[in-house]
Amino acid sequence: MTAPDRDSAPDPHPHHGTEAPEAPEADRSDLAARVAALEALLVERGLVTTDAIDAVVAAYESDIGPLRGARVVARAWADPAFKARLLADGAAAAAELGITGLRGEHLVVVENTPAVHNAVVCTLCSCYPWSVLGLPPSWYKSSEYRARMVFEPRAVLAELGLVLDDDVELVVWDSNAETRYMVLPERPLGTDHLGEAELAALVTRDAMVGVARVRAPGDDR
Amino acid sequence: MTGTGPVVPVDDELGPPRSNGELVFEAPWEGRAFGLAAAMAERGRFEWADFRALLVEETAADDARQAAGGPARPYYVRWAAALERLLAERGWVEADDLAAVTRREEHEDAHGAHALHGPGPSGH
Repeated sequence: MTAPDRDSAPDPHPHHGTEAPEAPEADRSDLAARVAALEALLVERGLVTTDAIDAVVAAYESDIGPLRGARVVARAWADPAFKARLLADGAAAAAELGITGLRGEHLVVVENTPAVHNAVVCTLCSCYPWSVLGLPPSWYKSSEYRARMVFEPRAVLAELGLVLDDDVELVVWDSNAETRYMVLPERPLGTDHLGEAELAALVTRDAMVGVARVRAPGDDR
Repeated sequence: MTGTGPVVPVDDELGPPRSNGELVFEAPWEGRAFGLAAAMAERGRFEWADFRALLVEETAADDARQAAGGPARPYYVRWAAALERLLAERGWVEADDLAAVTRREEHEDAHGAHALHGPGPSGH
């Protein structure tokens, strides 16, 4: 039996203003020019700079990725006091490792235990803890994942290779614009001898989204 | 839905960077669209929740089309649509200017050159 979806508060009012258009399939070459035009117009108005956009693109292409989250997880495994701070205030604890989020982004870390397994989704679009995991994979943004994690999460996890025992409670967290969830996976057995860097190397993005477990070295389950 | 266990990244000296086996941006314009939204929000031009609300609408429209057997747009096409709507709503991008500058960008791209600072689209 699956646990109820512990939603954060739903978004208020539907957006008023322009209508969602009946959009035909966009021609990609036109779209590239259109996006370039948006950039040019906004730069001309002084609302953004090309350098600022370049910096964001470079950061997400090169620097910001799941290794950041893996370091947070490894630190939490190695240091119980850090783990307590992480669970109390994810953003503040991540900042201790030099990881800062975007304006308004509120990172919440949820802990897996033998009794409780957590998984993360954004049912309405694609909200994701960018600052610790980088940008989300296509499957996370798919309509299938977003819908099925609400009504049949155990089946989705099983398809992704993660089978939970019946007595393990599954909690699915719905991310939104303000609150981005990340899972603190269980530390695998047989890793007591590993240092933080070695622990971090074991932690995968999928484990921090909650669709996989972290495996100990040599574990081929 | 395809399986998505941890994917070993493929090192490709010649290609764009990958994250866990998947490209971060499949085309440069995707990165520009992402960077534009993120950079503007970071500078406080709008609340992220405002952009997200439009992305949610575009996503819902695609979900409905998909449920009716139609095609869903690729993710960054939805993203760009949401961004364009937000910018229009705020009065920062006029439709005529956007059309004119888009044609200019298409023209420059076709000729392999981009003006760094061209004249304004309306000539003012």
